Amino acid sequence: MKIPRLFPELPLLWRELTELSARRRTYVVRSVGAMIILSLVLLLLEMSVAAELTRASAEQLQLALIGIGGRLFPQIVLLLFIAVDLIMPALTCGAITIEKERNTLGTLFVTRLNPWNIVLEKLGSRLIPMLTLLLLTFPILAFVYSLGGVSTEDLFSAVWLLLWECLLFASIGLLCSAWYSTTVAAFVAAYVLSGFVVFLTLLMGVPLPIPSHQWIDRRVAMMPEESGFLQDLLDNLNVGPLATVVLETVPVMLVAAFFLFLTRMLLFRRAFVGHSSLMLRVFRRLDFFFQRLNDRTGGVMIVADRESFPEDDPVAWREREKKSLGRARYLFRVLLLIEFPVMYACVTFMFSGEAQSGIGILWLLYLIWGVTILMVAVKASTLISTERTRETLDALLSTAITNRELLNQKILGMRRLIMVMATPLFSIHLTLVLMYGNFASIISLAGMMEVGLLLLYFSAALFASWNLCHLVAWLCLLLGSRAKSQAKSVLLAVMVVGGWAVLSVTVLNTVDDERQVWRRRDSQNVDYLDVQLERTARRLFRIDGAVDAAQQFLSVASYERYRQFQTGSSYGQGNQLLLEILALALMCGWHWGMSRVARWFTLRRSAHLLDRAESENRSDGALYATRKWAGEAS
Amino acid sequence: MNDQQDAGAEPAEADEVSAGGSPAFGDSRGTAETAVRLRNLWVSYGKFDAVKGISLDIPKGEVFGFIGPNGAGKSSTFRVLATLQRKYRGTALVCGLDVLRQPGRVRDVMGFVPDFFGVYEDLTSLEYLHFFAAAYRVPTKQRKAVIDDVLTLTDMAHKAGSPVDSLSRGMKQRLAMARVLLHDPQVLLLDEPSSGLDPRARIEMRELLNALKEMGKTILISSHILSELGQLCTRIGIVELGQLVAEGSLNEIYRRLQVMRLIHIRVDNPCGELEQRVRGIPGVAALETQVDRWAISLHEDQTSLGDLHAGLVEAGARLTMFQPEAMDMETAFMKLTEGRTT
Repeated sequence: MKIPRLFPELPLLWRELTELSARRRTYVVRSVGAMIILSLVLLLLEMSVAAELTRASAEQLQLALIGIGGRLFPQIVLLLFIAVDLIMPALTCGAITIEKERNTLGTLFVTRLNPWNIVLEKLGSRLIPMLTLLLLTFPILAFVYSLGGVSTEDLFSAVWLLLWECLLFASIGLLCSAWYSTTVAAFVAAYVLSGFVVFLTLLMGVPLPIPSHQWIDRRVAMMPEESGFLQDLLDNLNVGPLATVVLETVPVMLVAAFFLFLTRMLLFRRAFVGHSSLMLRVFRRLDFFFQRLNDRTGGVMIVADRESFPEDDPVAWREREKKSLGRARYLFRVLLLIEFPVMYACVTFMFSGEAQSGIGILWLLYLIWGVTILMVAVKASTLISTERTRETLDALLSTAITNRELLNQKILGMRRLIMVMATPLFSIHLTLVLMYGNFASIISLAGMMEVGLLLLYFSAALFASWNLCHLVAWLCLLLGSRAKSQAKSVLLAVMVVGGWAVLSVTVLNTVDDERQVWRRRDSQNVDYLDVQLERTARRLFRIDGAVDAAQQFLSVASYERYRQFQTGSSYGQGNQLLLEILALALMCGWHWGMSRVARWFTLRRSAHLLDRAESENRSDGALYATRKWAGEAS
Repeated sequence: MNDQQDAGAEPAEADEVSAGGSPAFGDSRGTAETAVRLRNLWVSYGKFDAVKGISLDIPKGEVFGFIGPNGAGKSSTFRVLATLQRKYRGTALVCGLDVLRQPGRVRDVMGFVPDFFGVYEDLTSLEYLHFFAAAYRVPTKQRKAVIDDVLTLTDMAHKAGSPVDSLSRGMKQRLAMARVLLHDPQVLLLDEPSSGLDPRARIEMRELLNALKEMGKTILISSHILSELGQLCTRIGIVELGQLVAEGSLNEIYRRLQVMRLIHIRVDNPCGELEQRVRGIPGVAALETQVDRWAISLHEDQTSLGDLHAGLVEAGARLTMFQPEAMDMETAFMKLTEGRTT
């Protein structure tokens, strides 16, 4: 008699987990990830304890820490939600694309595994590593639970909501993985789609209670329960708090199931799609449309196609003329796509007249700045790995082109992209200049000084952004060139640049100092030099150090104008402005120096990055002279 | 096979050889007639040795076939010669130029088609060739003429304006051949050029290679299609487990293998006494009794097939079958290699 199996056989899951366990990287990533999460939790704990002890009076000191767990627990769980949101799309986006890239998906289709098996086992193979990572933080949760103030209901709610947060973002990642042919495209799409879902629910008020938002609303912000269909239903059912949490996640379950269903539908249909990018196909269709329109109307062509061949820079030529994100016509469309909303937002902020418009435009600046850095990082990190994965690198490396020329030309080919991405930044900085400037009094000395300062800010801000793009480009080229796949290079570059950005806005941030300085400013008791030195020292390690220095300079310049208006004094009497100018110059110089060092180091390591011997120094340089030399030598 | 005995030499010896030359190897710079020279070449990936002391000389104008099972070390050897392998031990010279010290000059005199290669899908064939002409630093004024020539030679002129991703595999292979001819190299390194091609494309590729041979190019070619190499190559080298197990002209290899030619005989009167007499015939190295026949291993340089036949008759054997094993490239390959892969 055949004994039925207790668990179904899951060959794909078994294979994935075996592969995962065989990689040393798995353990490194897991250890580093756990260490980062645990460090942040400990930091949070230390800060909370310190805050409680400061707040408590001498008599209450003994009792100050009682129930601190209740205040700490929601923050720690929130941290875990953020970790899930950041890690889960990256983990799942390659689940199916890797099979496509290795040409093994077809092999899976001819086995007895049905599409649901493939989708669910792939899901399981990505969920298990994430859950094990979360499991590592459970001792901390238990410790916090032991501090008191955390109910069992809170504990179970946290576990339940974390599980569904994992499932929701995993299903988004899997969907992107089923749609796209490459891991890089799926990676970008997974984050864009995740961000879009978060944006829809958080800002647009679409009634989809994402688990993390539920947690923020109920446990962190302590918001009252809003009336609505779901809430009314739960009130009528009169169920317990735990059951309420479970029932509240039903919409998320449905959404995750819907995404998984879409994944299953796309698994076959998008299994053998080509490598051509979606953007390129859209642009080609647009070309076709405009061509037909022009044929009928005899209209004017703004950017005409011309046949061009490379001269001495073939690699840069190809990046510039032949890639979808390199062609002038296509980049112009990308520019319009980004520039129009930015211009609209700038004009809105400028004429709104509200006090918050300055902050709004700063948010916009940092948003565009972040997108620019991300695009430059992704593009630069895949410059060599794309050639490697598409097996075009060996042919290129066997030519006379040197390693340094190759890397230099690759970055040169990105210049148009950087210029296009810098244009919205240009618009934002210009808006800031117009908002802060008082051009009515330009004919006076003070007015001319002011215009001069604003021009200084404008040039410095643009220079800083340009430098930063180059710094990130060289850094990501250095990081991504050795990677065997595009996915690895993108992941590494995004982790490093993203990590640097996160550190910049958390540990190295100077916002608190700023507040203190501004608060104490009018009392004239601030040692501004000390503050500036400390701030500059921090900025040296910040990715946005020069950009931040430019913004600080602008705010001080405008404050000086305010003070001049109040006291009737003229510009430059205080040394704050001078210090800010010096700090700005230092930061711009520092970032310029860093980008040069990154370039120098990358070129110096070019032989290692490309794994090819560098050409010897030759005075002739010309091919035919070399051949003559070889003939003579033989 | 003059260096076969050195194949297993330690890398330390290789360094000495490349530094000052050695009587065993002669002048390590090569001669005017040597297109490729390898001396005690070792290529390692971590602890694994992919190539273990290969030494060979390829004169100019020769078509040298590199044969071996998958993972034998052929591609690693090609990558060294194509300047794509930074870390190796021993000496590798192309047209007298040291691959490690003068990689730039080596790239000027060499053209390489790897076993797996992609093409830039966003370019047309013409743009693709212009791209590589610029990369090979062909003077701008000469580019058009050079590209026209290679397109004609490879019979790709009618596809000049076609996007590369629309070409068939055979055409992509011909385009790759056009690419490596742009700078008129003296040495061509072709790693599995006929792999995955249909019969027509394979014949066209063979014709192209014959044309290049006529032009006096030195060609190193690796292939699994042994019959093709037999028709094209002037010499072959058989590689297994990173070592050169045989090297020479086809005739030399056949002759070497025929030294121990296998002859199957069937006799009407098999008995122990006859078997002893046959074993005693000069040149017979071994006799194996099989179900319905005897298999005789014969030193053919000592005793010819005719003499063996006469000897058998003289020994009293009533022969009903006398069947020497036919020798061809595939038999040679099977005899020389044991199918061991890494």
